Amino acid sequence: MSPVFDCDVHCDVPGLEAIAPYLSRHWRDRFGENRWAGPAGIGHVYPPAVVSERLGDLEAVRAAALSGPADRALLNCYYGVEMIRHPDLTAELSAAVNSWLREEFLAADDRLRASLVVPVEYPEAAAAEIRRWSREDGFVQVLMPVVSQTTYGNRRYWPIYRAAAERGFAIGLHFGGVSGAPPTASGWPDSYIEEVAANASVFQGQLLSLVAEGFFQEFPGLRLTLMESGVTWLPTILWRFDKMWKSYRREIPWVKRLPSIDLRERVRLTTQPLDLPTDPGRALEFLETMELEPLLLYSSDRPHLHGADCEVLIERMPAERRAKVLYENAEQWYGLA
Amino acid sequence: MGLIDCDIHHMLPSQAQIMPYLDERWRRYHERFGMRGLLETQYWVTTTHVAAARVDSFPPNGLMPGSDLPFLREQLLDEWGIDYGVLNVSEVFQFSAQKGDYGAALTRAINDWTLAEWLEPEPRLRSSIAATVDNVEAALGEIERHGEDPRFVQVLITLRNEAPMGDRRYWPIYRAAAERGLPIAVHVGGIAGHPPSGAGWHSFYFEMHTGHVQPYQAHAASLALNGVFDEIPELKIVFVEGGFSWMVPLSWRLDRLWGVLREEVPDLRRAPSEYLREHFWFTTQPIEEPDDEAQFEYMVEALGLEERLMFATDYPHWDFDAPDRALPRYLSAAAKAKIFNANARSLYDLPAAAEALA
Repeated sequence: MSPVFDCDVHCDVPGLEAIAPYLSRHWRDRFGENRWAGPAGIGHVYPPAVVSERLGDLEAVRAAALSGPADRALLNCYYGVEMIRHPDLTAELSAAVNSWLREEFLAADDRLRASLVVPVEYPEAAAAEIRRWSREDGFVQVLMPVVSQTTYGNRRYWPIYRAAAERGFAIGLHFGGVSGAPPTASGWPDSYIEEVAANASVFQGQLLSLVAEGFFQEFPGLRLTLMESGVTWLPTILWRFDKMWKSYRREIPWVKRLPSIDLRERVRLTTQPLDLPTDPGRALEFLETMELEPLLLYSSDRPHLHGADCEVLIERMPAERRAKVLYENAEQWYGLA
Repeated sequence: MGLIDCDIHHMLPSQAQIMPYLDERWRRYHERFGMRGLLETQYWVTTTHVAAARVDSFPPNGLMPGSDLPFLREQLLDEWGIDYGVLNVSEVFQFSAQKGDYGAALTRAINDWTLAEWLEPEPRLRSSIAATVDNVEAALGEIERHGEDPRFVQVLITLRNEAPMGDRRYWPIYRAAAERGLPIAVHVGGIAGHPPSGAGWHSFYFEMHTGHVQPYQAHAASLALNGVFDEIPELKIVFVEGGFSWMVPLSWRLDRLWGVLREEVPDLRRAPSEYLREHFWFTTQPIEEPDDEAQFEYMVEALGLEERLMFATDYPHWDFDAPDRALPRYLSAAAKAKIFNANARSLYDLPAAAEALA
């Protein structure tokens, strides 16, 4: 059997008690006094309707993610730390989650890798947290919720990218996040389903910002993974990026070539949830016409509910291409070998 | 057969020209207080020319581009053989964002000015009714005043508003438009108080202009999921200057989500993609132009958009699409005929050109 790397599995901090050993006395006392259960962002980003179970320890992760088609996996632990405004608390929660990830999962099972949780809105603190870790610890990526207070190309975030580049981590933008601002330029949608739909355009806004501000020139080795973003919107956006770049490049002279060239080299997207037509033949035709397969990293997004048709689709790919999506693209991307 | 240009921006020669169309109270207000809340629009300063206009579009009198009818006739309508041009007044983006009665008075004035100084003297011109989307009562007033005049062919609202378009507060506008057979046109622009993308504030005009496709997607999703089209089946939406190809992936994404989460929107009668396929039109400028013909064709065919694309020049803006090079060269003659003329003629129910000129 050829190897399969699942690039997006979600473990959850099962409760504050799990990370309490890594928190200072000060914060443990405060949480106790407030009977606080942790950041509220998790339930907002993933309401019960989309979650089959919460993977709170190694056994749960093994059962859910390593007993199916995949024999290795990348863990993303969304904990809503970005919604905490207190600069020390958001940093300390992030550090505690990372220590927990390392002890509970990475040190115990070498089939697992993880993304680092960082206080994204305090970039210097985030950079310091990134520098606490290395690839030897099992971390391969910095997790950044796609919803942020300011577009991620903005230079105030650059300390994060500099630290990630130094450590050889990829930058992973992931669905979700809580910023307090509406997820569309016309305010708040009425439903979760609309917010999820709108999330694709938030990814587009972040990509646009990263292109415009010169992320790809400033950090030439840095890789950018889009997770749970959907993939089909990408070509339509690249056309528009390229067209507008031809018009406006004197405003952003550091972008020296068509944005689509940099993006195709430096961006990868995880497969689940699929936003392709349900008919696998049509879906594959689309991927091929738009030359998207080389950019895809297999993911199950377990334990979130999407249905099994991602696996069905990949099964239908010719063997050589299937192996790339299931493993080789990720192996190269994350340097797994 | 001539062309139909679905996005022409006419403009006041100067702010003072609005005065005769305002009553005394609002003339005084306009002079002594004026418009507020426009700071974010200065994004354009870092890159475009005055009024984002073609440098050759300033009329001989030296006033603003798009402000002089004889020159617009000569440079646009005559030069390119345009049967009909649909006006979207440039002032709508500022006027409709003014709060309360002031915005209502400005919008009323600009519609009256359009009628008197553009539609009366030039039979090839049609216009949108400029409407204040976040002042529903005032918008209804304008639809009431001009909605029966066949020279007004649609209702124009801005892209960036207080809430996504499916929100019920806007339904009276849609109902009033649909009752009169008028589509709702949404044009990039507007000032909402929210950042111009769900990802936050931009640094560059390049981001601003490229990113307009984001709120369009949110509006399309909101319209499809909130049941607007179940309630107002005659409603037609025209997205102006926002591209079209993103509608295809969006329709797949929404159908997928609806498959998993439809218990959240149980009243919706059909799959979201069906509403997107049936109720939306798109103007071409600035059109997608992938190098690979197959990619373009795929997007057009996936949602039957050959019937839904309508040519636009965006005159007098700098990114004007000249008709002889606006559409991808690989499009068939039949497709071009639809996009240049037939689709708009059918949507706006325009008579054959000869009849109009008779």
